[in-house]
Amino acid sequence: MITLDRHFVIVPNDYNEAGKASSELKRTLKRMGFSRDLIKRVSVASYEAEINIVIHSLGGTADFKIIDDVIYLQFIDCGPGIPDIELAMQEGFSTANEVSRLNGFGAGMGLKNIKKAADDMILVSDCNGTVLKLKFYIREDDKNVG
Amino acid sequence: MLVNDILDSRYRIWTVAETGKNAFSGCYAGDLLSVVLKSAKAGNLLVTIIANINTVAVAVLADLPAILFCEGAVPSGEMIRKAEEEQIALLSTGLTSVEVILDLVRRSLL
Repeated sequence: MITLDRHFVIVPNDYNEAGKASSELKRTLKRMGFSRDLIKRVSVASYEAEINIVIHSLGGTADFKIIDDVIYLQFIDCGPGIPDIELAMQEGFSTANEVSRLNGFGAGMGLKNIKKAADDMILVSDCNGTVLKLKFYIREDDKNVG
Repeated sequence: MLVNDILDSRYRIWTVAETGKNAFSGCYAGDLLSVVLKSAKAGNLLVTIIANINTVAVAVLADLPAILFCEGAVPSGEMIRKAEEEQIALLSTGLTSVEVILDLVRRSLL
């Protein structure tokens, strides 16, 4: 059964709106009564992915779904793509510009944080854009906590 | 500890008085928001020089009840509005992060 189905448009370089989709996701998960640990993992991954689109891409979308006991997050952007995924996954590696750094981003931790938080992660990228799919399993002790 | 316990002539609170009653336990100091997200524990006071709307978003996501901006950084009106909406206290000081932590330890707030 689908219990959540939300779609957001993410605007590039808009630092004021950055994190809006993830904040709403967090509020929804809280309302649905999931455990603090699950909510933190999902919202940290979602925020990092959302920020990546704001900082690095030409714009994109985020889709959040809950089907049965799995939370699915999908982020798609319109490019320019990640030239070397292996390098981008390394802690500390960042291509963020000066403006991003002044905004507190560009630690080179984003993808690493996402991988650590999610139960499953698929990242596909070429010059047309990047697709990031994340899966979080809802365990019995994650339900009806809040 | 309460946010109000921190306040003296060197610290200013920007959000409504109600947020001064926010309780915090321990503190995390950092300026790279991804690292804050990774390492800060729920309930921590965040000490940082990064004063923009994303700092507030990170506090919301990481369940941080208060942000203390140091070295003269101050929040914008938009940040104050957002923080009040989320019941997060915003404070500022001219001290550096290390001076803040030493001060809080000295006063047994950490």
